[in-house]
Amino acid sequence: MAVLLAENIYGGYGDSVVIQDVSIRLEKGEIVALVGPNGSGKSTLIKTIYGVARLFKGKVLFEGRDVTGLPPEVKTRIGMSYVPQTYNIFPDLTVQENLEMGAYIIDDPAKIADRMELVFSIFPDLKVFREKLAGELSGGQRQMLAVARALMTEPKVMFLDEPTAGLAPKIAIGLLKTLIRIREETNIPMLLVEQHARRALQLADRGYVLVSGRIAVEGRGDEILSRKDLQELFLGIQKR
Amino acid sequence: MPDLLSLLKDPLFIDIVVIFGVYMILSLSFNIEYGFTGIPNLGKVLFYAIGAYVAGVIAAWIALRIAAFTPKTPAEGPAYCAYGAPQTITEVFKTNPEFAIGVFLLSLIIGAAAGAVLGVLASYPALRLREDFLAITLLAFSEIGRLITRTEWWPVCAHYGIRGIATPFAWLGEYSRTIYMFLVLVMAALMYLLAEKLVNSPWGRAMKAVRDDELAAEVYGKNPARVRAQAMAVGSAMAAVAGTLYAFYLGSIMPDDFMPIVTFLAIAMVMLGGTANNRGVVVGVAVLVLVDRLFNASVLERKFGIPLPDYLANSIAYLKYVVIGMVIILILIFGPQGLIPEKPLKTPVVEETKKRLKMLARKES
Amino acid sequence: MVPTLVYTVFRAVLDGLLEGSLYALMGFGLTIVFRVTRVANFAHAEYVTYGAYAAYVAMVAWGLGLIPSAIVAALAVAAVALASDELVFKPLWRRGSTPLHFLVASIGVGLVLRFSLQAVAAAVPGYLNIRLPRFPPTLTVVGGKVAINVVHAAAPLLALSTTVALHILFTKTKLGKAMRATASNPTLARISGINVIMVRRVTWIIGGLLAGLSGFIISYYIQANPEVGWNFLLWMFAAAIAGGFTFYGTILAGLILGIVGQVAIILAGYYAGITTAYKPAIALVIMVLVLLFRPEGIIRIQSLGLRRRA
Ligand SMILES: Nc1ncnc2c1ncn2[C@@H]1O[C@H](COP(=O)(O)OP(=O)(O)OP(=O)(O)O)[C@@H](O)[C@H]1O
Ligand SMILES: [Mg+2]
Repeated sequence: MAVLLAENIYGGYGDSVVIQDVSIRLEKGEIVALVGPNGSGKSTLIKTIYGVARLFKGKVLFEGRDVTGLPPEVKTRIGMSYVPQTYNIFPDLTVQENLEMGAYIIDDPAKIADRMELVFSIFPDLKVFREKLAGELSGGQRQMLAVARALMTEPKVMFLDEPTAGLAPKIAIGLLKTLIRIREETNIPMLLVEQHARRALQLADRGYVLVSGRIAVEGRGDEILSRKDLQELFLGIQKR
Repeated sequence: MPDLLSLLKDPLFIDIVVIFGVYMILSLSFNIEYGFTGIPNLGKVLFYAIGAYVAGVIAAWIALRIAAFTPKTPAEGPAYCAYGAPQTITEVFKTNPEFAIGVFLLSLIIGAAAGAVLGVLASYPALRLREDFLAITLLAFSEIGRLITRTEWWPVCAHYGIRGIATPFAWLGEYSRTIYMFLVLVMAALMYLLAEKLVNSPWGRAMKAVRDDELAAEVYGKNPARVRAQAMAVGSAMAAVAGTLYAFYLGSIMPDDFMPIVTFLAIAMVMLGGTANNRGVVVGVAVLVLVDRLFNASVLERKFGIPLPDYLANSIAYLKYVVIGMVIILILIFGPQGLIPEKPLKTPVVEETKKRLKMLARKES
Repeated sequence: MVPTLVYTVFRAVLDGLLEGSLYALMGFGLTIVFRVTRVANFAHAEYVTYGAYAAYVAMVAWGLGLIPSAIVAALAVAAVALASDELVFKPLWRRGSTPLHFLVASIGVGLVLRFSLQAVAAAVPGYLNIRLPRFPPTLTVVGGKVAINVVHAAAPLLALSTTVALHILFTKTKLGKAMRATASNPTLARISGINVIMVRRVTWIIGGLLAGLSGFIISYYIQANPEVGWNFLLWMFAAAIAGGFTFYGTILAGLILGIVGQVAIILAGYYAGITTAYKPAIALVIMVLVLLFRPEGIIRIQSLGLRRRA
């Protein structure tokens, strides 16, 4: 059974429909890449599934339970987790407080401390700057904090919207490796949006290509990569 | 037709019609700034006050010159603040038709010009501030203005106010106020036509473009700063005209007649009728002017024979503002469109931008 | 022999501190509500008035003591503030209104509150001008000229203890941190599982409590009438704006505004013959200047994440 199943999603903002009839599925332990040109609706799709953008039609199942239309705070409470593409930290709070807010739904202080040690072991940089205001971190540190915040709850599924955006290639690869490690250790499925389509598809088990709000192609990562008719698309994406 | 004649002379009827005309102009001007251009001018009453005070000062000063008036007891401020001056001013209005009409026209022109200049100055913050802070700033401007008029004897007679002004037809006697009422109505109609003409012109479309999407407007060669300044100039000149008309009707100009509540009333009228819709404004003004004038114990009792219990008689004048506040809230919650929604007007700038964006998106995919 | 001017200035500083404490308390309520809900709340002025009247009713009509009356005032206004959010601002927020709509709606709320109170006060004899009985006993008289009243000490103490309490709330408690998180990034707060509705309620309640206490002090200090809060409106906005809508910045800016305003107007009268009627102009001018030239505020206390985001 899929951990997350989104069926025939129509989503967008106000009256404008951006996502049209999109279905995706995440199985246990899978990293799934979501790629597509700028403005194709990758972020909107995640926002719609998570309840931040408007859902017009469709159904979302999480661990077999119908969570369609639940507000984001409830989705987080039942084990989902989301790193937004922008505004993904609390700039006015310290690093430590950001992580505490990530663990807002956990009541047991001992458990919060455990989780914090865990994310510090993954991102040692954050431990050094734990008293610093998040708004004063560097771009790379911010992205780490954004991912770390989302990890605080011991999630059962993660949505990561361009966690490597704006990072130097080396740091970006480091972050992706970390994600793979987290997946290996916890076996949670991740939906990963990446600007770097080729890299994402190489790393992922499966991938979806979103074009103009619809799924154009789906399949195994290497399969999609090897398709001749899509080369131009990837080039197009990479050119940016 | 004795009935019609007595109605035309009825002070309450004249009052309602004149206030309707004045608020009509004021609300239209707010609509031009806020409804069409997106400038939340919470300082509206300042420009209205400018028109009123310009009229008062000019009329009072010239009248006393004509009458060669010197105050018997030296008083603070200009001669027209002195004891006995108001009676002299009124007397000149009653006996000198050339003066009465001339000074009225002069006040209209100078008041409108002063309003326009001040409007352009006040549009400066509109370039730098977010909408809500802009609103607070403009409100603060209007309160500074009131503070000055309350305190300074030169040239506005502080809290004593400028008194003794009469209508430009005072020399006609019995029907002078009726005639003035018609004049105000004609002015309101002219302003309505002017506002309609403006908002349907290319310039009106530029205003809407600035309101809806400043960036897009800029891309297509509209200078948002210039458009805003123009809208404030026109809106403020209109507000000043409303103030001048009001001053000649009321006869005395006091600082506390120009509290922010006047602005709020105009806002409620525009919102009730439907922002960015001049036809709607007529309806909104009509409804709220009736509320404003009929929530009055003596009117209800004497005119309509509705006796009010004591506690209500004392408080009904306040209840009308409760109604106005409720109107603002309810409209925002249940129908921000107002009674009559905005006409979808084709805005070439926005349409064109949308088309190009679509083309770009198609190319990309 | 100490010159009279020294006493005059000393008196001004004392009064300024008292008024500044009020501006700080009121401005803080304005700031916290603005930061969490984006409502630039004109009705906050009316909350203050309601606090003054609630204290008066509690004391005169119900015969309660001073402290219980203050508590009644705070709680009553907290209820009014909460009700205005539940009935007006939250529905608007749900339908996606802009900050400007919030502001205009708050004007509507202010009109309803102020004039329904006016209507009642006009109908009930003795309620148009109120002042708490047992008017401030004098603590001491300095130099035989300047009387220091209880309220001169009480108001700053209240402001100080409020600040300390808020500091603890914001730095030590989960709820307080969640409030700051919501102010900082509302969407991410929801994504983190924070119950923003609850945060919203607490925010309005805190704003209301502080406004109620301010109203209590006002009816204790000066005479209150249904417009008393409105007369403070520009001062509280000036404090919040000068403080860049940061929590502690607002409090400090309020205190400074109070003292500077009082001293400046006294000196202006002494040296330039300018009447005290122009005192509100100080608030207005500071506010306009800050907005035009340093819209991010002048007294911005950045620690504790009190930065304002555009
Ligand atoms: N808050 C919003 N309100 C209205 N429209 C929006 C909003 N956010 C995005 N859109 C529109 O939705 C469409 C899809 O945007 P989205 O951010 O989902 O694209 P994306 O695939 O994530 O792009 P990118 O690779 O740049 O992150 C775009 O046309 C965008 O203009
Ligand atoms: Mg995106």
